[in-house]
Amino acid sequence: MSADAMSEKLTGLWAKTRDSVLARVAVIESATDALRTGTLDADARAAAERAAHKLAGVAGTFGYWEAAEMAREAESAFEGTEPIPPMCVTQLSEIAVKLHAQLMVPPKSE
Amino acid sequence: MTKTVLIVDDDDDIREVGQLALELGSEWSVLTANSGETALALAKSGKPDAILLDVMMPEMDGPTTLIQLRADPSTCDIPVVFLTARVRTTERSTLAALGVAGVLSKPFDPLKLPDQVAEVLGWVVAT
Repeated sequence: MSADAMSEKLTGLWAKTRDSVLARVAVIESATDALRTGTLDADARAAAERAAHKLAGVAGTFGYWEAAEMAREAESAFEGTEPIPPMCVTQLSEIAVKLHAQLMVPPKSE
Repeated sequence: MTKTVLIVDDDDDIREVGQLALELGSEWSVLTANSGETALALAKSGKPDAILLDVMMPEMDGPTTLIQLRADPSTCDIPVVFLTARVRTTERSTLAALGVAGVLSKPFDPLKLPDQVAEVLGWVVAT
């Protein structure tokens, strides 16, 4: 199987899975909004951590390596039960915006 | 003889990309399972030559699934490779110490996955 053929297959698969991936970004966005307003509960925080973890795993697999790295940062921020520092709100907001923008662009061929 | 690999991951996207990568990048057959419980059943019935096992899964995680596989005489000898998005060295060492053939990272490059799997298992990839 050539790289081109694999890339074509992956692009087709991405078209099918993009919505579920973007739904994970939405979970991170929602949790970040709740964090900003002081209403983030444990369940939403855990859901955001899971979504970021899954996103980190799948985004790079489709070639979105920078998005995968940002998802890891989000996962790390939401991990655990310690209070999340206020400075993380801005960082998480920026991550959510960048994730959304990057994942809207079709995957690049290697 | 064609090898059969069982991919276990609760994430639909990872299972699909993994299956695509292994089927197109090698001559292996691929089975998939979305949970540890399904994996145990498929390991018994499908007799795969190796299992790629996600670490973080709800209900039955990867290490627990591994223990169950090892406790069953019909599946105890199947080589297992962990797939993990955890990148900390200590966590990877802990996983490796559980007696698996190897630990591979997520995200993975689909073009390289067959070679990575073959390398940890000592297989030859026929393309």
